[in-house]
Amino acid sequence: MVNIIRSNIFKNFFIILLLISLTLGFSKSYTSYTIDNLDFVTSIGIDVSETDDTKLKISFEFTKASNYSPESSGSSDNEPIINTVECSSIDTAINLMNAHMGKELKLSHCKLIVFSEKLAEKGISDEIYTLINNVQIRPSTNIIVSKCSSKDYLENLNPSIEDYVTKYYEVFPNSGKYTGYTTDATIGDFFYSMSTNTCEPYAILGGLSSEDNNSYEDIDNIIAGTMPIDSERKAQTVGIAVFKNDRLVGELTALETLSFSILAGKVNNFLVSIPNPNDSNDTLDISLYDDMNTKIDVDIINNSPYVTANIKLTGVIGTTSYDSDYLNQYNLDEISNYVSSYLESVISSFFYKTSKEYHADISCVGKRALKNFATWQEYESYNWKDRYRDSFFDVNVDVNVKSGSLITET
Amino acid sequence: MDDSRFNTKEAIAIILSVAVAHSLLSIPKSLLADQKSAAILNITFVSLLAIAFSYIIYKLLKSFPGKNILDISEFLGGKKFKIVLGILFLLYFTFSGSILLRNFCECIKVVYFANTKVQFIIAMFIASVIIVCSLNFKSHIKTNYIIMPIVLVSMIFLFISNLKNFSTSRMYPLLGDGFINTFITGTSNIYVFGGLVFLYFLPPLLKEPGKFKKISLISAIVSAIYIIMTISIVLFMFAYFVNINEIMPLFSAARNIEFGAFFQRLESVFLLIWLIVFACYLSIVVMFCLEIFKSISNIKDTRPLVPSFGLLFLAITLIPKNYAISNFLETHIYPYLNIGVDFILSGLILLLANYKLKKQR
Repeated sequence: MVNIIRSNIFKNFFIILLLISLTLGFSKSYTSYTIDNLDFVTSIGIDVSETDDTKLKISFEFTKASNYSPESSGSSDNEPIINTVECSSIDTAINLMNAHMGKELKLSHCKLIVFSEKLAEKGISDEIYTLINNVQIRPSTNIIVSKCSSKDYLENLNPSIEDYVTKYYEVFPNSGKYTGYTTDATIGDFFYSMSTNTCEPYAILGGLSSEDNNSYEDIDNIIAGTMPIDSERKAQTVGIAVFKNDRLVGELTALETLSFSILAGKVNNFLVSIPNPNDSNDTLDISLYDDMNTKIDVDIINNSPYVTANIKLTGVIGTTSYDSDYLNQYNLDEISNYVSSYLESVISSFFYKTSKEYHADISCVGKRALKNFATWQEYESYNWKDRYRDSFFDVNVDVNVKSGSLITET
Repeated sequence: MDDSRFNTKEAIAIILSVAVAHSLLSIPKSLLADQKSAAILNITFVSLLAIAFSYIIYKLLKSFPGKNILDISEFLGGKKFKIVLGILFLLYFTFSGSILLRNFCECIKVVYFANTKVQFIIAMFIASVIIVCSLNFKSHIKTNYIIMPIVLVSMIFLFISNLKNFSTSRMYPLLGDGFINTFITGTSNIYVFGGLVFLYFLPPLLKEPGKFKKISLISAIVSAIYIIMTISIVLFMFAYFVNINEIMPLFSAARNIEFGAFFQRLESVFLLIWLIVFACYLSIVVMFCLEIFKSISNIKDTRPLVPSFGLLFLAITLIPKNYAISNFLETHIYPYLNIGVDFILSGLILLLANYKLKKQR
């Protein structure tokens, strides 16, 4: 009996001792990750230092935790709090900012990383590796390359009609799903594209609108910063920043971004404006819906890649005038053929621009080329990234314009 | 007596636990580094071999009903041989369990407990194993049986929810580094079916020994499906397998799960499941170590030895100086040790014992 009591006392003593030691051991991590000890970063801007080209100028945008309380209201509380630090690396910047703020920076709610064009042209692989290595950075965090300094861009990005900036940063690339003029470009995808030998990375293109941008700009040439929009928010996100390995080599306009989005299956529906076949002074706006049937195939012919893209789209005519007749099959066929030819030309020029001008396979055509090789050695010796510039493209767009919308005949 | 024996489903879950525990860390990384785009082809081929091997084990053990490999080794080479083999299995289990524990804890530290010493994380697992094994010998088997279906469902969920991130063209070039690497030298990847080692010890522990064939085949098939699914997720999602080594590929896959803005950060749920799985795996390994010790030392009650074995695991776990060493041991030593002990040595013993039995008859 005495032995049993002794045994129980020993067992309880052991359990209590174990619990105390584990509590003490894990308390360090717990203390660090409570809301009282953290500053939440919503976006990061990375730029080249103005005084020293080898240094970085890193901006952190913070949000007040009180803004997310039920008592908080209105966007007036949500003015961006941006602090900037100059140093040699991102980790050093975080460390210095930790010391300055008196709290630890928490990056798990960071939704946006902005690189300046100047830094992107120098190469951003070190920064990308550092960020992807940080367990707090989500792979779904979007990357923007701004044509201005990253701090200026962040200062002008604050949404005027959205209370929660993090929510806005998360949803704004979604506009690409119904316009095709921008696209989501996550750090995860950027990292994977940079690490593989089948494609090249890309980022969202950002820029600030200036006072003289309010003139009409043809859609073919629109990029971030040139959209003819007069708005309180100066920051614009239109187009794609094209990278070769980790260096920015060019940019794509809204229409070229639309081509990219169609090929990548990133756009659900979009609008194209074509000259009216019946009236050369008028244009027709047609809503096109992706049938999710885009097929890209690659053959190696005479040692050069021969890329075939077959795209199927369904259209609805948005423009209606006093003499519209969208129940006439001949008219519909004529419009369909015109849209098909127009998109074939647009997408072909996108392909040739990325291939001949930028030498950057951002559409990941290289992935489709893999099946032409039996082994990795064969693929690596073919050197896809360099051979992409020798590619030939055959784009076939099958558009089926069905009718008008509510009014089909006037 | 029957209370301490396993039913068919529990036995299958025991074997599956090894594949699950190893798949969290080294298996996807090592397979993709070795096979590149041919990983699925290779693992499918290796799975067929493993299923065939488990059937052979069943056939060889059939001649010795109710006996484990140590009993069979005694029949083959006497008591001394049994003790030597028992010690060898003890070393194998303690080494594989400890190294895997160390690596898993290092990864947990990186992901969630950056400021906690890895020793505390290891101690947490060891404490749980000691408590569970001390309280009831079968409780962890029951827990493992409950958690395994959850793991399988979670893996299917991980697969389905990442479909949008998949690129099936990454399975090309189909032959990876070539036919020889995929089908000849690649057969060494059979080590991923390390759980089959428990088949050698299961016969005397089964409630229904007649269902051993079912256990060996189903456990191999389910393990194969699970591993193929795991490899598929990592291969189809990540294009960087050639030159990037990420600590927990499945955790990275779980981080990519997002359903709109409301359903995010599900990796925490996965990690919780994996923590339980790992504790179960560890307690199963300790349990088999105790069974082996019992068999070679003739002691009746192994429960007082549980803390000693727990501390032994803790000690071995702390030997590697850092993650680089423990990772090297797991990726470069464990596979060969596994093939040597699990497939070659044990297979030979069973073959020779069967030969001896045939000769005696």
